[in-house]
Amino acid sequence: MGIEGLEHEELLKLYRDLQLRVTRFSATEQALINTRDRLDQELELYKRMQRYNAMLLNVPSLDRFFALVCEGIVDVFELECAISARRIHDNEKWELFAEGHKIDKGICWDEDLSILCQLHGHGESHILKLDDFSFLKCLSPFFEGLYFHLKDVKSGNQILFLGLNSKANSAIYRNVQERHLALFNVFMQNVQSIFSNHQRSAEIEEQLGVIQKSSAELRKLSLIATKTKNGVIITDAHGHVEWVNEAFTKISGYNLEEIKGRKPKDFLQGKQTDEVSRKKLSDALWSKDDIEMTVVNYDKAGNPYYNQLEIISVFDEQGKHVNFIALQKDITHEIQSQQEMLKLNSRFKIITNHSKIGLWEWTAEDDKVEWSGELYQLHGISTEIKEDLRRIWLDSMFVEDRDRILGNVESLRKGDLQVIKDVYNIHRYDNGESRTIETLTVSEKNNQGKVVRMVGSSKDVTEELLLIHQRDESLAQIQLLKSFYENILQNSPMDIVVIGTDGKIVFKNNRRENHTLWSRLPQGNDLLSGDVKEQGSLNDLVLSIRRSIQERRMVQWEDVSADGDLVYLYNVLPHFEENGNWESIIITGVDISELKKIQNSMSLTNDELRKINLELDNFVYSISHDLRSPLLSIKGIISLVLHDQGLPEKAVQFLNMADQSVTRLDGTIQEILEYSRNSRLDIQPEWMDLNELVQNIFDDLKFITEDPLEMVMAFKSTSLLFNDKARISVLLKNIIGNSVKYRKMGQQSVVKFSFDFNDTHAVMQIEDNGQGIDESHIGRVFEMFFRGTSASIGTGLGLYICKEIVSKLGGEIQVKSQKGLGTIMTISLPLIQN
Amino acid sequence: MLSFYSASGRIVNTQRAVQEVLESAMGNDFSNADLLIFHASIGHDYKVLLDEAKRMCPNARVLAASCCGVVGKEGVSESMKDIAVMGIKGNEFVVESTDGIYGSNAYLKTKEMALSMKSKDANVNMIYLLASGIDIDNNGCIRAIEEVFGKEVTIFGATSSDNMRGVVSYQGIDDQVFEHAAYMVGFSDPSLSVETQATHGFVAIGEPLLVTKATGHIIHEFNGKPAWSEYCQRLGIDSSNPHCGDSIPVGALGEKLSPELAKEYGNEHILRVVTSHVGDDMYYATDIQEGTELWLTTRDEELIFTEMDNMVKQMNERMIGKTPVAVFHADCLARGRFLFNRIIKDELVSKMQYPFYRNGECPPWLGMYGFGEIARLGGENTYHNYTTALYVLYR
Repeated sequence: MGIEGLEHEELLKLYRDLQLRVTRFSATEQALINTRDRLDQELELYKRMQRYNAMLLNVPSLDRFFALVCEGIVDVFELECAISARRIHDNEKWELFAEGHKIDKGICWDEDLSILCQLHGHGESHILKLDDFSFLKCLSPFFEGLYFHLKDVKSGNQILFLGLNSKANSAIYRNVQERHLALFNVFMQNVQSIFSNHQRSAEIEEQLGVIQKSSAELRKLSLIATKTKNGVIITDAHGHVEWVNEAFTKISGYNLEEIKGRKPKDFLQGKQTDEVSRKKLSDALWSKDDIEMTVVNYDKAGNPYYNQLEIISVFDEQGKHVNFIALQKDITHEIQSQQEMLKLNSRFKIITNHSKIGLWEWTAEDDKVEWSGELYQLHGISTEIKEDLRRIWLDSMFVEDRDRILGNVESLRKGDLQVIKDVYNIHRYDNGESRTIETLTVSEKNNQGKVVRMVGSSKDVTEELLLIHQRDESLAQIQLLKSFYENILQNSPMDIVVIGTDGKIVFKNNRRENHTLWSRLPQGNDLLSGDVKEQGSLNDLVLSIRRSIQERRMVQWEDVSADGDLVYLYNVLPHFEENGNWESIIITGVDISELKKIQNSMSLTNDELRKINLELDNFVYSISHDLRSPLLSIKGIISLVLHDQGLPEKAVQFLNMADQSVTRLDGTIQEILEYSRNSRLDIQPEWMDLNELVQNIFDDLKFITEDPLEMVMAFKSTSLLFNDKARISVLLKNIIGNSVKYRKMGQQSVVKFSFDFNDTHAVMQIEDNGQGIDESHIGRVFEMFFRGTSASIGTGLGLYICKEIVSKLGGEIQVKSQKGLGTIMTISLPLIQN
Repeated sequence: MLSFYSASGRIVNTQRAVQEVLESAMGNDFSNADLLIFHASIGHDYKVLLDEAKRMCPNARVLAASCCGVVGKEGVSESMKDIAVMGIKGNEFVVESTDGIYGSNAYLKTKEMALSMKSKDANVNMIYLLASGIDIDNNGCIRAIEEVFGKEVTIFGATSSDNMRGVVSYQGIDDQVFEHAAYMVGFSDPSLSVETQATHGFVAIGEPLLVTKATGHIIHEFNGKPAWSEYCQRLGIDSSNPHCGDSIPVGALGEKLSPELAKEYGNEHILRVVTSHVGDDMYYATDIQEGTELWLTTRDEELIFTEMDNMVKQMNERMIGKTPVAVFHADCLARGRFLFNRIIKDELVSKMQYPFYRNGECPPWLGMYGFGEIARLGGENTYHNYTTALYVLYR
């Protein structure tokens, strides 16, 4: 049916189908192109593989071979990564090479690879799928790959090649497909073949190497046997000489012709060859054992020599004994030297043991260190110890010393230094005790200048250093003190001179540089006896010295200049040794000229002052005394007037006020008199009974008030006191009077008096429950004319006089008070001896 | 005055690959290299590549892009282990780079780079741009640069790729490797000029797919149906593949050009690639408007060769009297071994290189098989896909 007859919808459907077919034809065409391209690509991959085959043939080493196979797998099969692995035996680790994957060397792949090999066998290639990786550790990131394992059952050699794609990059890398396997198989067969070739080449090269080495060794041995300075004898299996070298002839004097076919024992041994050596040698030859020994042989001239002998039995490939080879060396000189050395060593050992010096020796030849017994002791270790001595030595050393000491020893070993002297600290091995070691190390070089031996001595200098340290410290301290005192003496305002027993000046400060008194002192015995040629100052000085020594005390004398202007006070102090002999005289002189002048001046002033004071006191006393008489007259007149009954009330009031004023003024004058008396009169001590004294005072006071008043007295042992009674009386009257005056008005007042004394002081205490003193006034109550308030009853002189009295008596007065609670007065007076 | 050096090869081990191409390109003069631009197949380790390049040429800025194969003066190579380098000496260039560039922010990110570049050197007269080939709006990139430098500044370059799977592409900048980065090299050597041109040789087939729903560079629907399913159904391929590996070789989409541009281009359509999809949303290589008609296309080998000849001929005609000093080259990976067998491909590359030989020698050449190309069309910087694009620097 043609399209003419079709409806629009049908046409549209057909068009769309056609559309799809056209598009899909494009896709199909592309698929064809892809196939073509894939073939082209595989051709390309094949070419790449051929290129790698060619490269693998020419790799210089097996390591490069395995690395290149990895690159080939990645490149040819366009896989993400490749791993090559090889191992020589089943029980060895796989050696890994990789491309495109970082092998973490910290992770062991052996288990994974072994499992993989067990599962997939060897000799054939396989495609690895996701399941193959699921139970592996190192290979778990991968999801597909190519596998080839080759194992040489005979040798156990194995090689393994893996091409791998990871899960992470699965979207990028092409999927491994069956068609890849064929190509991989081809590549692996080629790899196997090339690897075998490489191995064979390696084996051949190795064999060639062995042959070349053997040949070279043989040449060397032949050369050694001929040219060696040691004697060489080759005998047949029965011990008959077949060949000797030149050195043997030189040592023994026998040439080959003379001894060929003979047994060496027949012409080399003699009477000094000991029987033990003969038998030992004979047994070894009989049993065809190799032997090394030293034996006494004789040369052709009959001279004995020490022969260091080594006999080797030679067997052929079938194990048949064919020859003896004897190597001998004339060590007579060495033996003699050794014996001499042993003697020396023995002597040296005795010395070092006694001096406690440890010795060690290192030899380059065997790189061994040997210690002497003393060194073991010094380090606190047993000579039986098995540990490495160097390790012990290093461990014992203080960390801060280690690098320095090792550096020095290394410099010595290299030949940079020849001798090292050093001191370092160690911890002893047995008890950890810290010790200080003084070491001396010397190196010995061979002809080529190479160090072959180092010998060292170690000495424990701990105590020695400690003593030196202490001595140094003491000396330093003494020096410091000396400087200190010298400095003081030098800067002293006094002249200071120290004179020795011979009259010579031991020390002199520079106070008076030009003073010649000291240099004129008699010398030697003249200092202590004999006439002094010069009178005056020098004579006084010498006499003072002699007196101070005789009387063993300090002697003073004043040196006055001729014009009287200068006065020097000299102290002459002798210094005696423990045995009683005098050792030196210390003379100090100080210029007291000014002091003298001041003293004189003050003395005059004091006299004048004393006179003035006396006059003043007399004046005060006279005035006070003269004032009291009219006052008492006034007081008497007032009393008389008041007895008049007809006086108006106002007049009585004014007269009473006048009487009170006169009484107060009289009190003030009495106090001034007491003050004056205290100042003027000397202390007149006498026995007094304080009980009686206080009671009388209290009795005088108790009637001034109608308030209840109680006096309590307490004496510790006695109420007797030896002191100035008049002053004590004034003192207590004032204080007890204050307790009564400043009582709490209208209340019960108690005044307590207590008396106690110790070895040096008498202590009186007056305590009341009165008004107390304001805290701000306590510090001022003993001031002259101080009154707590304007309402205070007193004159302001009472406590001032108390303080002056106590002061005059050499004592102390203290006050403790609390406003509203009361006051405690404590008087402490030094005891006066009767 | 800038000077250029190139080398390429296929070396499996990345470290050794870098060493060999650098030795081949620079001789022993590593310390004087100022800029190295690498193209390396997706099988290489890009971090190793950057580190080794920096170790050998410590004074050089190093840039790298992943691709599906390389083209150098030594020829073409398409494997997982190809590498090519263009070494540049001189200081008349500026490099700018950005990370985190996607289709949605391509314009803004590129604008930032362009502004920064201009602030450093206002005399830039040509710009090499390379961005991630997956999820990118290339028109946005071009527009951003033109807004800063003007349309007269030629932009050339490519988008990085993998081996056509559309899974990932890498960009290397100095010592860091990125997956969604872009870099720009602005050249300011006044003695240099650049000629660019692109050609594809595909023909549209059948009825177009009508874009009925799109946002930015993402196509949601064709003909009112879910885009990816409709697209795969038209191509006859399985739509369940999460990547675009199956569709890229056969699914070139053509946008119709104006008659004038078609005449210059030698083809009525400009092609676009889709390198990724999320469900039915297809990530187009440029922004796309609803109502746009997109044709499926098919290759025409004869046309490919003819247009290639024409392009090279036209370029040579325009460069009379000048000497090519370096050629940058971007080729669509779908034109590589997935399109041509090796013999044809070698022939194609030979055809494009030979006209630029001077004294029997190919100029320094750095080409890649990537996802996209940028070359001028109608006097304007234009993004292309499925083309061979040549950028010849003359002096």
